[in-house]
Formats: sequence, structure tokens, C-alpha cells
Amino acid sequence: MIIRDVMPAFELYQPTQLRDAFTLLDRFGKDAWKMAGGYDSLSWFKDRIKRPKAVIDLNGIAEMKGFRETADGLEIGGLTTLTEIERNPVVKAKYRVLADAAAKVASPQIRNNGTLGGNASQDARCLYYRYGLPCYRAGGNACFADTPEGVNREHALFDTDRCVAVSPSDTAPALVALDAKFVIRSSKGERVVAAEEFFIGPQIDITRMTSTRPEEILVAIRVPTTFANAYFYFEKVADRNTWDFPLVNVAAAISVKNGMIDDARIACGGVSCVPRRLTAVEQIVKGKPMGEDIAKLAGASATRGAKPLNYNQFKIPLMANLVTRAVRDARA
Amino acid sequence: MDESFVAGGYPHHSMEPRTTFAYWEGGKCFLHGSNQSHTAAVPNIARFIGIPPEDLVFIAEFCGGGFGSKIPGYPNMAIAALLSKKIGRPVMHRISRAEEYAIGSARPSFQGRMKLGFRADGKLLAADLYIVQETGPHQGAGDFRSAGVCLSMLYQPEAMRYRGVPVLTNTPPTGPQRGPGENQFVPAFEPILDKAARELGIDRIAIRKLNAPESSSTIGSDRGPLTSAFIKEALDKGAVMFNWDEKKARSGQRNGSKLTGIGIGQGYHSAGSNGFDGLLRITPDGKLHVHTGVGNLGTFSHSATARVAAEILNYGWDNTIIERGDTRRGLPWNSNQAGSLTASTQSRTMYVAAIDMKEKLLDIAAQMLGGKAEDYDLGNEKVVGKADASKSITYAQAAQKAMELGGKYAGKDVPKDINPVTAHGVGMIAGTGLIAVVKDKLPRVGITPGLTVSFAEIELDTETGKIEIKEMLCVADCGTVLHPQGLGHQIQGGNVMGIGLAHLERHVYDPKLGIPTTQSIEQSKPPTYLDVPAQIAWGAVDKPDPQNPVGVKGVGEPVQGSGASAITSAIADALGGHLFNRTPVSLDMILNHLNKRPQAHKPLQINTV
Repeated sequence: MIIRDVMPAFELYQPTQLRDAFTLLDRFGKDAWKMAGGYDSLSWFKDRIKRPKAVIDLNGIAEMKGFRETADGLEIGGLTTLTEIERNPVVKAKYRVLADAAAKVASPQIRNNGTLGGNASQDARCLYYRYGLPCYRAGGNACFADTPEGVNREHALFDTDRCVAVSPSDTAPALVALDAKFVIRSSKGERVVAAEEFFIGPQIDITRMTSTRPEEILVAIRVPTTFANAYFYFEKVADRNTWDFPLVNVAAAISVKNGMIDDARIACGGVSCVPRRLTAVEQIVKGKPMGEDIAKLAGASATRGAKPLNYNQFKIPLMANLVTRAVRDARA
Repeated sequence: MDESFVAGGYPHHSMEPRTTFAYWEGGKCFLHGSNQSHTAAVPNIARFIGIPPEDLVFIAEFCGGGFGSKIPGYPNMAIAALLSKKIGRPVMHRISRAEEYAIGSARPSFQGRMKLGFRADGKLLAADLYIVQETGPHQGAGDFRSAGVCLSMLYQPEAMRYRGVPVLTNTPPTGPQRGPGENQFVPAFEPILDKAARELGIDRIAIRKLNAPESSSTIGSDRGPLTSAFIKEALDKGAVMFNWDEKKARSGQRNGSKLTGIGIGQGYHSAGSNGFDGLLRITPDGKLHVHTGVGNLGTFSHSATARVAAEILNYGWDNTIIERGDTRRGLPWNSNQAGSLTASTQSRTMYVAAIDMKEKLLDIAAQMLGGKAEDYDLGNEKVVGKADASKSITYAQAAQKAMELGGKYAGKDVPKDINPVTAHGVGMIAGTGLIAVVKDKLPRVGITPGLTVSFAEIELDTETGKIEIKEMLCVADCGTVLHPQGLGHQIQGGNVMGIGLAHLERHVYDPKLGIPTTQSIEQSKPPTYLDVPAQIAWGAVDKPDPQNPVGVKGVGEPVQGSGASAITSAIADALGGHLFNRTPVSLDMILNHLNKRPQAHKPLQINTV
């Protein structure tokens, strides 16, 4: 714990084909570590908290990079960088909420290397977990954040179960709002899952944030045309304006016909272990005219059921205000 | 007024962790280390290693930040040296980023209470200040004392009492950080002063001017004198530059979800010392070598102060060589690069050494050309006869002559009162040119105060608790401006650090486990480019301090305090005068206040954000 900043030794593998990556994953099993942009991985390694025997660097796999327009929408390779997403003309034109979210991740330098798959799949940032304490998420049998004295300003308002860490991703709520599908492959085959299945809470597996199993790779994310050219809104509130994780963020995709809300998907990050889709809010706003009144109602409804911890009750008005803004200020 | 307050501590987290590299050769220890100061640290580091100072070769040309955590050398610098001696090979000892948060020192937190009594016209008649200071596991720094002196200095109460209690805590070691004590205190005090002004119906600049020190003022429990104080002039100049009268009309204005806040803050730190040694050398190639033992914390003030010697000697800057950063270059005993000391203290040593050099040049000219020293003057890198300009010698010729003359001219005989470190340094260069070496014995009576005033306009978003700094200005009373670009950088950098102190930087501890949960720059949250205004305007009163030969005072530390307090003042102003009495004012506190929710922290609790 005390000695940090010196990475333990590991074998580095740099496959150029997915099939080779699967072979390596099958060979090393739980001793393998999949690395994309590397920012989260190298932090873990340098802190000497995660010590894999084999690191499989996926960056040489060309088929996991870039954009493919299909009849159903846009498929984005898991290794596509956040900067590429921020600048892609199709994403900007049709699915702007994702470009806006990607542009708010971390810092420009990190976005140049950080990937969409990595950002959506990233691990919890709970300060206790990152410190290396043997908490539930780390395989232990305690939570150090949710105690009478625990410092948990950044932690969850909803759906906690032993672990109170939150999804720290900025792109994840945007992908939920766009009803994206996650393409996951292994040597056994491919499965495509919706966001609600992809992001998992502690009730399902307390040591993982997504349904991607150790032997699987998130190869691509498919954004359907459902909300293409819809009204969008993304906002992130963090202490700092760059190089920071969200305290709360919000992403909204709203279809508007004749000034009335025809359909909507709204999600918040930073409030639960998964990007929290606000289905009740969506039901409330559907069929209503865009405007201040429905926006206020949406905000007030968003936080129902919130259970604040010692230090995070400020997230309740913050989340309500962000949802209000999302419904009020979403634009084509 | 009776207000309690909390000033949060936070780590120094200098960009450069404190790596040390050491090896032994010829019985001497060669040590490369990250340190703010240079020769001032040599005796300490030698003591840690257990060798005489003359057996230490200390190389420290650049220091990537220290902010007070690397002032006089630190014990773990000895580890690489001792291990190297044991195994007979070079050893590097690296301190990782995470380890910096354990041993890299931190600003201590305050829990305080102040009672203030004002006259109807705004004059502060009585002040009672009590501070409990978190010190970590060791003695820590005397921040609480400095906070009391700061109150005495900046606000000149007619009667005051201050008391402080340092308390050992289960947190990593604390130590002085930029403006230790003063910069925890003013961000709490300035919004309270604003409240007094509001309640008394007085302009906020007027109440500051009414209570501000003047050059004739005294401070502290012993009522010590000041060398000069021109903060009233700084307030006046700042009010004009900031367009105060127009700006203050915008206080509390709402634009959508955003409220405008206008803030003023003041800062103070003593900013000058004396008694160190100056060392100059002219070599036979005609070059002026300015030997300086001051460190390089990133301010490059070694060059700004060296210019004093070059100008007195009529030297072109291209012919001036600064010898520094490596004790093998023959360096004098100079002040720590800390405490806002360098500009004032080092300009004095440069001045006295240059006067010594000038006298020796005139002496040598008289010896070579006849007549008396007073028959000559300094020209363009020449000594020239006053009556007959054709009678001259070049500085190069004088240096050659000094080597022949030996004795005091060549550094063979040195003044008895110079520091042993200086004597050792002179010994390395003796006989290589004309040498001037002398201790600064110029008079200095009283505290030399560095004083600054910052102004800020912010927009506070009531829906997110975020603040955006729309405009910021800082005006310094730092005596004569020594180096405009260097001063501008110092002012802007200090104000950026003040922004961090006011509402961003943090040091979070789990009170039960006693562990830090902030162990990286990302977790501790110093301001980024996008958290500070694109431009921070600055100005200077530019009135000379009469007790410095070139009029200079330091300014490194107060700029952070005034910057931080301008932000806390502006936040209070945007919220109609609401006092958080706490730094950092994080956005969760603002949201809880606006939504009438209780604050998450317990009263006076520290290390929470």
C-alpha cells in the first residue's frame, strides 16, 4: 500500500486480431487484464493495487476502431477515441449528445487516447476503493464509505447494496439516452445487450460495473436511429471544469413533434452505480409541451427515492436542477 | 461581530516530487535534490547525512515547486546519500506522487473564532482571535501565530488579543505553505469585514482604507515598526483599474440562474530579511560572474536580483554570468528561497557586493594609472578617469591585475564576518579574478511587509453551485518593481493558487480510519486552466521601500491570500452577504445553503470536502 508509482512486472501482449485476443483471454483467465486507452489501467498498476500477470493491449486491433454507418444507425468501435467521437461529423449531426458528453470527459490529452469502450466501462472512483482498502468491490466484506463517519460526498443516492460507489462515466448516460446497444464478443460468440443490461449494479456483481465478463471484449457500441436528430442535452457538474469526474451529469434525448414531447430518454451519472435512467421522468414528460412547467416537474420527479449519505445530499437539488435544465433547454 | 470559522488545509503537492540522487567521490557526497533553497539548505542536509557542510556538493538548479515544503532541506534527502555510501554505488531515492501526500507536507487547518468591535465609522476598535491548529504528528508550523500578526498588520485594531493552540493530529505532517497562517486567515476575515461594512453602511474599499496600515504603523504584540506600507495606494489603484464604482453596483444582480458577486481581498506576509553575503567575480575575459546561493523555485528571481549588481557596475547583461545551482561553482551564504524573501534580501546582498566591487575597481585603477580611487568612475565596462577619460582600464585588465595583487582583490583574504559557507565558496574561486565578497550590514529596522489587494467579479450559478470567475485583478505594494514580467507571473500564479484555496483544493481524511482519501492531483483538485480566468490583470504601487537600497520588497505569498479572499468575498457578495466562514467554499456548501439544507459537515469539522 505504501509503495506506489512502480508498476509490478507483467507480460505484455499486443494482438492485432480479435481472435488472438480471445485466445489470450482464454489462456490467462483471471490473470489477464484488458487494456484500451490505458488511463485507468496504468493508474491501477502504478498504485500496485491491481497486479495482472498478463496485460492484453487491444490497441492494435483495427476492427475495433472507427465508425460504420448502417441502416439501423451508427456502429462505433470500442477503441474509437473520445476525441474522434467529439469531432465525428455524423455523431455531431445526428447524435450530438454523445459528442457533447465525450467532449466533457477528463482533459484533452486523456480524450486523445481514452476510448469510448473504456470510458463507458470504467471502474468506480470511490476514494476508499482506489486507496486499496479491502471493500466489497475489491473482494472484501466491508464498505468503508458508507459508515457513520465515512466521507462520501461523491457517492450514490440510489440503489445502493453494500457498495455505494457511482458510475463515473460521462459517455454512459449519453449512450443510455440514445438507447445504444453494446456488442460483446468472446471465443464462444457474440451477444448484443441494451444499456440496462450492460451496466450492472452491486446486486448483480459487486466487483464489476458492466456485464462484460473477463473472457469477453466490448468490441463496438451501436447507436440506433431512434433519436437521430432529436433534441439533445448534456451537462456535467464537477468541482473542476476539466480533469474531473462528474458529481452529477445528465444526458437527454427528446423527440419533439409540433412542440410536444413525443418520446424521451433521460439518464444521470454520478448518482447510482449505473447510469440511472429516469423512466418515471420520461413518462411524465411524454405528450407534454416543451417548456418551463414540465421541466420543473421533471426535475422534482427525478430525485424521488433518493437516499442521501453523510455528505452527498447536495446531489438531490443538483440532480433535480440538471434534469430541469435538460428538459427545459434541450435543443435540436 | 462574533464568528467562528474553519480554514481547510491541503497538500503542497508540488509538480516535482522530492527525488534525490547521490554518490560519493573523493570523500565528498554529491547530491542532486529537489529543494527550494540552495546554500541555505547545505548545513541542514550535511547534518542529516552526518558530514561537515564542506564535504557536501549540492546540485539543485531547478525546483519544480515547493510552496514551502522544501525550504531548508528535509531529512529523507539523506536516505540516498547514506545508502550510496553503504553500497558504494550511486543511489536514487524517488518519492512517488502518492507518497508526496504522506510526507510532502500540507497546510494546517484552522478552527477559529473571532470577536470584532467596530466604531460606527468602520474603525476596528477591538479584536479577539482564537485558533486551534491541526499540526499533524509533529510540531508543524506556527501558522496560528502568523494569523494573529496578520490581523494586527492588515486591520490595525486599536486593541487586540490573539491566542492559538496547535493540536497533534492523526494526519500526515504539516508545514508552512505559501503565506502560512495569513492565507488561512484572510479568506475568512475579508467577507466578515464586508459584513461589517454593509451593516454600518460603509463602502467596502473605504472600510479597508480606514483600517489599513501606513508606513508609520506598528504591528504585533511588541508593536514593531514597518519599513513601509502602501496598501491604501494599492486599494486606490485597484479601485480605478477594476472600475470599482461601476462593478459594485452589480453586486447580487441576477441573470437567469446566475448571481453576480463582487469581491475584494487583501494579503500580507513579511517580505524581506538581511545579513546574508554577496559574492561577485570579474574574470580576465571581462565577464561579471554573479555568484548566488539562492534557490530557484521557478521564479528565476536569482536573475532579477543579479541585475542589481550588473546595473551598479554598468555591466551589459550579455557579459553577466550567473553562477548558481551547484556548490562547486563557489556560492555564497544566501537566504532561503521562501517567505517572500528573495527579491528584497538578495537585492541587498547584490548591492553591497557591487559596491565592494566598485571600490576595488577604482582602487586598482588608481594603482595602475596613478592618483586616488576617487579620481575614477565606472564607465562602460571600464574604469575611467573623471578628469581625463583617456585614462582608463578595462574590467578585464582590472581582473588580471587583481590576480597579480592577490589578497582581498583575488579572494585570498576575506572579511571575518562572512558565513563559513561563503568562505568555502570563495575558496573555490580565489585567484581566478577580481573578487568582491561582503556581508550585508545595511540597516533594516522593522518588518518589511509585502501587501496585496485582489478584486474579483464572479457569477454564481444557483442551480449548480458552480462559480465562474469573470474578472480578476491584483495590485501589489512590493516596493520598486524589480522585474515586471517576473512580478506579473508571481502575482498571477499566486492568485491562481488562491482560487484553489478559496473553493477547490482539499485534503480529505476519514476521521475514523485516519487515512487520506486524496492521494493524487486529480483527487486534491488544484485549479485547472478552465477554472481560472483567461487573464488576471495586475498592477503595482511601485513606491520604493526606504530600507532597501533599490527600494524592493517581496510579494510571493500575500498574492495567494488576497486572491483567495477576493473569491470568498465575492461568493458572500453574490449570496447577499451570507458567510460560510469556511474554506474551501465547495459547490455542495453553496447548493445546501441555497436549498435551505443543513451543511453536511459538523460545526468546525475539518478535512471533509
